[in-house]
Amino acid sequence: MTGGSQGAGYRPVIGLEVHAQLLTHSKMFCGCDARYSGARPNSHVCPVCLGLPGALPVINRAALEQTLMVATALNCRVPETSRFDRKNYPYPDIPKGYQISQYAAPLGRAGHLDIFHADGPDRVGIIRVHLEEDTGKTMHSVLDGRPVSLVDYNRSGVPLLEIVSEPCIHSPDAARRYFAGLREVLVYLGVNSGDMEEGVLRADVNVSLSRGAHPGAKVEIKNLNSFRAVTRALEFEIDRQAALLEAGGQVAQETRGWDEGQEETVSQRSKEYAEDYRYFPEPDLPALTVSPERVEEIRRTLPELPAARRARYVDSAGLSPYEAEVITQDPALASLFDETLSLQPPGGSKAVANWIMGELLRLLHEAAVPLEASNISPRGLSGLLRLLGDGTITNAQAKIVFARMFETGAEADEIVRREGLAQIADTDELAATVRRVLAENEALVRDYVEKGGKTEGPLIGKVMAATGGRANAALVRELIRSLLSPEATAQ
Amino acid sequence: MSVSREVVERLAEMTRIGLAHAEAEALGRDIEAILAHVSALQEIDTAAVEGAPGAGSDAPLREDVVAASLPVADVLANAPQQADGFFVVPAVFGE
Amino acid sequence: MTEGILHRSFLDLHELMARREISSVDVTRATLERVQRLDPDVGAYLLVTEEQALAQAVEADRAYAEDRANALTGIPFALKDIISTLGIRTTCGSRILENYVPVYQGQVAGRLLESGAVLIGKTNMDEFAMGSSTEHSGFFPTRNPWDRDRVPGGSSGGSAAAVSAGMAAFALGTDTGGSIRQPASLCGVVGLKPTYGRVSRYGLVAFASSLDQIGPIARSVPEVAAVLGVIAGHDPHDSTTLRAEVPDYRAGLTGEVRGLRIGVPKEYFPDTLESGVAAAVSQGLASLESLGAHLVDISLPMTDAALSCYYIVAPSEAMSNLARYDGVRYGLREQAADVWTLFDRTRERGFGAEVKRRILVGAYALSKGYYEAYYVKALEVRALVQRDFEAAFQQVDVIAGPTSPTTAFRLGERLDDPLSMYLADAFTLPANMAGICGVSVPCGLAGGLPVGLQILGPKLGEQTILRVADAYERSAGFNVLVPPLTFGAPA
Ligand SMILES: [Mg+2]
Ligand SMILES: [Zn+2]
Repeated sequence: MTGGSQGAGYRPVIGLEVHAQLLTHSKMFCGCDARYSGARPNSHVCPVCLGLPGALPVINRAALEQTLMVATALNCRVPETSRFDRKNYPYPDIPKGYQISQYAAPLGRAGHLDIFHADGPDRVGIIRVHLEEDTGKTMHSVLDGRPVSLVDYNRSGVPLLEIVSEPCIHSPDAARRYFAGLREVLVYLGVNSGDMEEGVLRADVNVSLSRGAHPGAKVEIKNLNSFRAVTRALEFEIDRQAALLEAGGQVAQETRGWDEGQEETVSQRSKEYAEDYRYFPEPDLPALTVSPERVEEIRRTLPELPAARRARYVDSAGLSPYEAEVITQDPALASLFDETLSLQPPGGSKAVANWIMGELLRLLHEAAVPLEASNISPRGLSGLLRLLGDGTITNAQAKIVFARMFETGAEADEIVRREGLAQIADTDELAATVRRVLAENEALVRDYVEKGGKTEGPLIGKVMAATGGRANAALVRELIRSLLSPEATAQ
Repeated sequence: MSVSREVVERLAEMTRIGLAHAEAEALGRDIEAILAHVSALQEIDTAAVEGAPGAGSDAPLREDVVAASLPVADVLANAPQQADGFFVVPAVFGE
Repeated sequence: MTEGILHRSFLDLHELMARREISSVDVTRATLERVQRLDPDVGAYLLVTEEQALAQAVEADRAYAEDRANALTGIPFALKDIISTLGIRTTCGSRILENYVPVYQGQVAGRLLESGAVLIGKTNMDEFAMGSSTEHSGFFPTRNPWDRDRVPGGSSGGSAAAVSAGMAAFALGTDTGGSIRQPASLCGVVGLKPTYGRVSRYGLVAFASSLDQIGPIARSVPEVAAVLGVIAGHDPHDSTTLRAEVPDYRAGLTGEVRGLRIGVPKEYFPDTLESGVAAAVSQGLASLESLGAHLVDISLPMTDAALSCYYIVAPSEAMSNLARYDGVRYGLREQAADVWTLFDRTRERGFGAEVKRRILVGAYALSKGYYEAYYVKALEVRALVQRDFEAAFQQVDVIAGPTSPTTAFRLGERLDDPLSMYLADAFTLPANMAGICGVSVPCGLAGGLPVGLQILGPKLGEQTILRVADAYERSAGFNVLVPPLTFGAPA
């Protein structure tokens, strides 16, 4: 929360419209490849997504299914009849002069998302979830000394989900948390890559400042494609509006853009008619019927969502909220946790969590790769924990084994065997080494005997060094104590 | 139902049909006449019409399978102006 | 070969070709020669595809030689220039598409060409099918072969005139509010508007998507039935096509109408109906009665409302469908320094007055503050129009009356009065609003000009209305109404 606005008694009222590209193979209404990133301009284009005269749309089943998953995961009501509408507005990268979207009868209505954080969950109301098509892309350039726009329609027709929140968010930070929470749900459901730099997730935010019962004029900031941009744009805008109001001015209801470089919002001059999209039902597509049974089936087969997973980790696995948060951030990490745990004897959750949060995240970070690119598997991690638990290896050795496993994917016991890493727990073998160390360290032995065991630590250290860390520390201690006991020294 | 020149000009701007002022007045009169005629609709009792439009219908769905796109040469075959595979238009000023 | 053969049924020509008594090359050449001689006075064609036609004719003769011909193989036909043809200019009668060449094949054009029919050319039409006289063509008006001072009707005026004058054995038109039936009536040929969804619209340049339907125009009912059998059927590219089986329409032409109930709506016989039209239609109905059908007086109270409704729904959809013609991807482009001026100039220059008029009415009806009163109300009334017909078809098998309230009117007569032009469609457009099928069949002359009898049937009732039309045609003998053709140099 920024200082100025709060001091003056204004309360920010924020809502988000998030656009998320769905992860389908083909586009929303045609068979063109939906993965256009890096493709030659206008190479993923057909009569339908180029808006050629006479071409007609046909709905992609996967896009519909993914939307229903999201609507259900966001606790929306899915009406039995929904349909597509045309949103009419001229723009060079809108090839038909209208965008096929949903207006009066969206696929999902009246849901919510619980955002989990330290003070407990926050609930953000979802007004609607609907399906539409993405636009092409316009780039600015200069040709023969004249400013021109270059249009590429590869993105045109890529399925796009729109999720509109209630204006029930009251700080830039809460807005960021909601956006992040939404991203997490979409990634968990496997319907969005979450790759913010690729622009697959974009937010339009609207913000007004209310004072008491007086609502303020709403300003919309378009096309924010990072968490940072959402936070910074809202902070800037709240300060700007508060300053205006305090100076006795008025906030104009308008659309603004976010200037990333200058870190400020800028007015995008627009005529009042520009908002008049002249929506009407898309006559080229019959309405969609989604039976309540179908919705129930989707609800039943939804994967466990991050919020529920977190609660389970805290309530039944005994993790701290922080641990639960870290592990659920990446669905792959959480799956590793769950699957490793299922291979472990009961009560092992802390150890599993520690290894994931400690060594695994450290190695992933160092290598800058996602979990999928490493060789750590539930079976591997579980095998390592077993060797550690039954005393075959020491903690120090386990870290070495884990690093090998990360690189090669070999089983823990195979690594231990191949590299001779098993700890020395053989009393005879170890006793010989301890005797040799004691013989080589007369001064320490003398001190031990005279001062009643004060130099036990350093002696153990000498033995460990002599064995390359493979000795079982408890056994070493026991051997030193018995070899230097009054009975033994008396002999 | 009077359709002023201002209204016609606003509609023309919305639909980008760039009307000359002279044309706007004549078209305004035509639209007025058409709207006067269709205003007969307002008299019709439609209370008996109920249910969400499209209820009972079910749009066919396409399987999510990639099909061939057009060759880029075909995509650009009718383009009034192109460069490096892009369609070219004069800059999008204002908006 | 004499040109007389060009007025014979193409089903006979097919038999002759099958017996090798004539060749497709002969018929094609004769047709092209006739076009060359007559069309300067008629103006039915916007483009004659002579070279391709002759190549196709050669191919068709080979098909006959190899015994793989069907009823349409080798038959010269024409397509309304709103039906996309791969590699063949498709203008929609508009300056804005003057140089547009489709890069994909439309569904019906593809089906006809695959059946071996020979494309003679693309026919003139009211710009984007908006009009009832073909005077709104962006290029030149078409004249009625019966009287060159009169219109052929519209918007498929070029197709109807071409068939009437023997410049094509059959043609396809499109019917959004009567655009097949009304010109068929005015030119003395048979025209069928199929049930909405019976024929694919993929490749048909959209005027009003929820009303548009492609249908055949020919000189006799069996020919129309044969063409319908080829173009009808489900198309996965058009989500609004019906999945119903395509029956053998010709096999259904039994000539039998005994016991059939024919509804005669009083609303289709207003005082303003031209007396010659009233007389010819009444005589037509009487001869159906003499064949054993029962005439039943019925009422379609929503007839007037349907017209008002049409003039909201059609322009609204057209406003949106025509938004894509902006000079960016194809078609006309006017130069400008910025893209918005480019849009404005391109569309101002490329569209004619009638198109602009309807775009404005559509934008008005869909704009904020008017949407409920106009568009939503029109949809509700449309539902009532549908019920009107549903109720009627509880009572009767088909409905019959005049196709058009007048015979062909004079060129220019209604050009300055859009409303009077709209009234030409009063009896045809209710069928489009309801999505049902209808056929116009010649029922004699009034003042030397053809009159059409319209027979309407319920959804997918094509077999029934064709059977009635065929029975009438056999008994009345108007199946080859040959215009006097007092023009054109003798062959
Ligand atoms: Mg949107
Ligand atoms: Zn495509």
